Amino acid sequence: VYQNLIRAAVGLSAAAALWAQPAIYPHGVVNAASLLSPGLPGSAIAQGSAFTIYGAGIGPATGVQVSSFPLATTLSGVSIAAVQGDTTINVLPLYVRQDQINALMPSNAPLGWVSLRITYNNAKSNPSPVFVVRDSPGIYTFTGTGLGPGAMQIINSDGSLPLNSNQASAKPGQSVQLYLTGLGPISAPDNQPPPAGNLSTSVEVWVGGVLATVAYSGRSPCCSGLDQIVFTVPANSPPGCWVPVQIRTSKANISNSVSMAINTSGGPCSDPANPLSSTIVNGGTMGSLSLTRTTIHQDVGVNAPVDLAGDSLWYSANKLTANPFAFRPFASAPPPGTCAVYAGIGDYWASGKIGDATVATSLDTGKQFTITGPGGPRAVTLTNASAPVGSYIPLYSLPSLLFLGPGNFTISGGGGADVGAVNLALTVPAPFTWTNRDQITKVDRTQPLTLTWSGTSGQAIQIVGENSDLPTNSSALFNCLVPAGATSFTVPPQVLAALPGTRSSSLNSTGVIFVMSSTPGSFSVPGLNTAFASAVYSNGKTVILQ
Amino acid sequence: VKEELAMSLKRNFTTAILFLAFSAKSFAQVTDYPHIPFLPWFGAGSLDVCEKDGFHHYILYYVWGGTVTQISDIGTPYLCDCKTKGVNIPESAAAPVELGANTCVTVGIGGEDLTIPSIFSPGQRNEPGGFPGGGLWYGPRPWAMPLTGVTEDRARFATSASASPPYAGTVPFRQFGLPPLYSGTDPKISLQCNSALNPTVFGVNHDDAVVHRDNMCTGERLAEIAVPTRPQQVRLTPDGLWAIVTSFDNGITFIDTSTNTAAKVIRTDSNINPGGLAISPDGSYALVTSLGQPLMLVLDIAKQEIAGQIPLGRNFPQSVRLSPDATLAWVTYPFDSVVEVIDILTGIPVRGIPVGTPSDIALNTTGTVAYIASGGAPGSVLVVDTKTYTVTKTIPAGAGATDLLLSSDDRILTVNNYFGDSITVIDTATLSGQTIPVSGAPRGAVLVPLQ
Repeated sequence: VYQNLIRAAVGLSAAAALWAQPAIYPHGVVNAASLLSPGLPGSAIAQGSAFTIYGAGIGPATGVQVSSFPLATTLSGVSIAAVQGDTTINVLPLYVRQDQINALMPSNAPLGWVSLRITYNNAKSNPSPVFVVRDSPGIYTFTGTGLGPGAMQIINSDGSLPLNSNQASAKPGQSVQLYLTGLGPISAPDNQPPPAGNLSTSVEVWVGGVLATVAYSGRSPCCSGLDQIVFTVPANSPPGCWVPVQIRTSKANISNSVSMAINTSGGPCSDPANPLSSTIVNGGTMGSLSLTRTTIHQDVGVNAPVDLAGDSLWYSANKLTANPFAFRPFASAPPPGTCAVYAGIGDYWASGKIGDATVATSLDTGKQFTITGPGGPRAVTLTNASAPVGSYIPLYSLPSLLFLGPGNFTISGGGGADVGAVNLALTVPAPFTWTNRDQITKVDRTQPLTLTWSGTSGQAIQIVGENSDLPTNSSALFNCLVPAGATSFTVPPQVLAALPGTRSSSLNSTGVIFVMSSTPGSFSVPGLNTAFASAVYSNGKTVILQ
Repeated sequence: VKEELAMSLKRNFTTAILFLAFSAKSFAQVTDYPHIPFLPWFGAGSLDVCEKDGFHHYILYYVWGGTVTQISDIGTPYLCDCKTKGVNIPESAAAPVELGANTCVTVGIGGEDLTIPSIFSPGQRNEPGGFPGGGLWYGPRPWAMPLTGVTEDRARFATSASASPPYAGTVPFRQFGLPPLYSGTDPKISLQCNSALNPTVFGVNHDDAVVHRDNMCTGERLAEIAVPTRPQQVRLTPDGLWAIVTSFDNGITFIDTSTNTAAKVIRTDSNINPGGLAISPDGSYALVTSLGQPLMLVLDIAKQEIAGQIPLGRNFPQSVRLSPDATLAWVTYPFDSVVEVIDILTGIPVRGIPVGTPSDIALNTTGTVAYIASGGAPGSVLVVDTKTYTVTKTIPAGAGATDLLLSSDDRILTVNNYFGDSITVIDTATLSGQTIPVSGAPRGAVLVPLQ
């Protein structure tokens, strides 16, 4: 870096103060489709791809879009330069607005770090570092967040091309065209309509973890930087409203994880494994309540392993609006046997925020609850839908004061402004054993990761892995649902590859994997169309993602 | 069959919503558990556990001159009823002392200047004879002290005391989705200095042209290493192998931490006065400001040589800090009353932030918030949103606010107020600070232990 720095910096005269000029936000240059923030796998900008710049004062107040070819290097007073050493490339603006620019990274942009700089009405922005690679796929989504339903059309035999949505599922065996950007450079001029034809970049498409046959992967001839992949929905792909779809190019570069709706008969999707899907798709009110025991074995970046445990109550309710592209992280669960990935900006552990474009209104469930179990009653107050119940740290001779041991519990509360009183029973099961937990510390993200457990008869299992890259303020998390009755699960490498690697200083990363079991309960509450409860045991450990 | 199917569906569904519950709970609750660095030498801390409403809380004590100056709840958003401040504890106290009613249980007692009393005289005012950082100070004075030998636990702390015993240890975990610690009792815990970790501290003695290394547990002076005169700052490389020292009088020293010897001294041109020092997170390079010239040197750490220079737009750059992702360098210009943010790739200023007499900068772990010490009278700390570079809040501090140190959990920001004979402790959650009189003119900062 410093060599580039020196090369670029030597000879520069003392630069004038720029603080009244257009500003590119830190980490504000992203793939136009995936929006993956710098620091995450798949966040590099590909030659010949569309990308987005976020900032302030970087264009006109009202958005302006290019309307004809050839594309010009200036649009409404906005021009963009990518500089590497003595090489300067003009980036092609596609859409400009005061807070956002969409642009095309030229196919001949230099690989590696370049410095991007915007000029708007002769005022120069700050430079912003961008890492340019040959290919880096990002799938467009209907949510506009890079998460949820991918931009796909079903290719019907009658020639119609309906959008894939929860009202128009694709059938196994059907062809689907998917829109993305980042398949790589083209040899034709970037300022002209791109030619159709397969690009040389190797492409893999996974649908619900199953490799699909690809019929076409290249530019969409309509639009600069817009790529198109035509694939066949695998015959053995699992049905569901949010079946994960991932792309990998050049056997190395992973895309964002999106979803598609699949149904053997087409039409509206059906998601029998997830009754919440009906409320998410069609709108309504839903709530969930859980008693959770969370344990974590910490053996990364510590002097000696330590096992921590905590108990908590969680209860939240929402009102949703019907949407053909509705999506809520976690609640829009992938089919059993598959894994979804959620990635974005922020430290997930610290903020708890994952991109969610679904319109939802939080409902007031009340705050005061009483949990009664083998240890007697305990009054708790919800804060942000949760309440701690007990914890244990085996240090300093502190006693264990966990509350949610195995046994029968009741939870009662008087209700709130939107949701009525609740009174339900839950059975907390005995903890299960993650049998190969201690063998999993360093995780090779290029290889499958198999986890095994025992003692979960009759319980549902879910596997969650997460890593936050703190220096770049970005996070990614995978969420795998295990088929009923299974005692092992293998997380595929394309899922692991979507998580950032652990930095050499573990202070800068938060790698962790949980195997979680749940025992269902049920309850009915005035004000909720759908209400579910569960007793959860979450068995976690810290990991190094390599 | 129908019943089995129904149960299967329920199980599957529960799986589907399981993480919904988990994630929201844990994400809403997580407060990265204490990973408290060694605090500046104006006051070490001691760790404590108290109990309120049935929950354990870790409490960090700041100590200065035998006085508990600040008690902060570092682990949870809940506060204990143990905010006793200004409790005088005899410096000679040799055992943990109860602070009394309505206080926490004390597990450590701090003395003054703690680990390195022999090289710093508490209460001694070192009058400045020149511009800050210019090296014209009088009297023996440590300027900067990075630690070694402390493992990189996510949750860690290291404390020390001139009183017996000193303390150093770790809280070896971070809070992944766990509720606050819970207890129905009031445990009296006692921590001992973890000699197995062998925590040590480097300090710069500006006036005697030496860098010293001391054992934090025993206070033993392990080494004194001669460096070019008027040393300014010392930083450790991320691998802990090298301590790099800047000297105003045209020198940069690479100290081999395994032997405590100056393995190499780079002599700069006579018009270059090395001052501020920032090492890249990957340990490949370091930036060094030249107090007398508008430039930064770029050091190739592997080759231990100057790889080049970055021209700056202003004279008298003082401190330099790198953003966590090493894309931006924040440089203070106290004479121009501005902080400039420099793009590392091009050397071009990204933004300038007007600040009266800026002295130091601290960035949070994710680089989303910057804190700038403004050393006027009264001093202040500016809170800057690094997305827009706007000052979101100005927090009063004491006169001559100089060094900033942000705990590695981003919770506690400490400020040395050199001219005000005080320190300011800021709770970054509430952005409220408390300025506490201390004896002597606090100056110098300690780095979080590097790996």
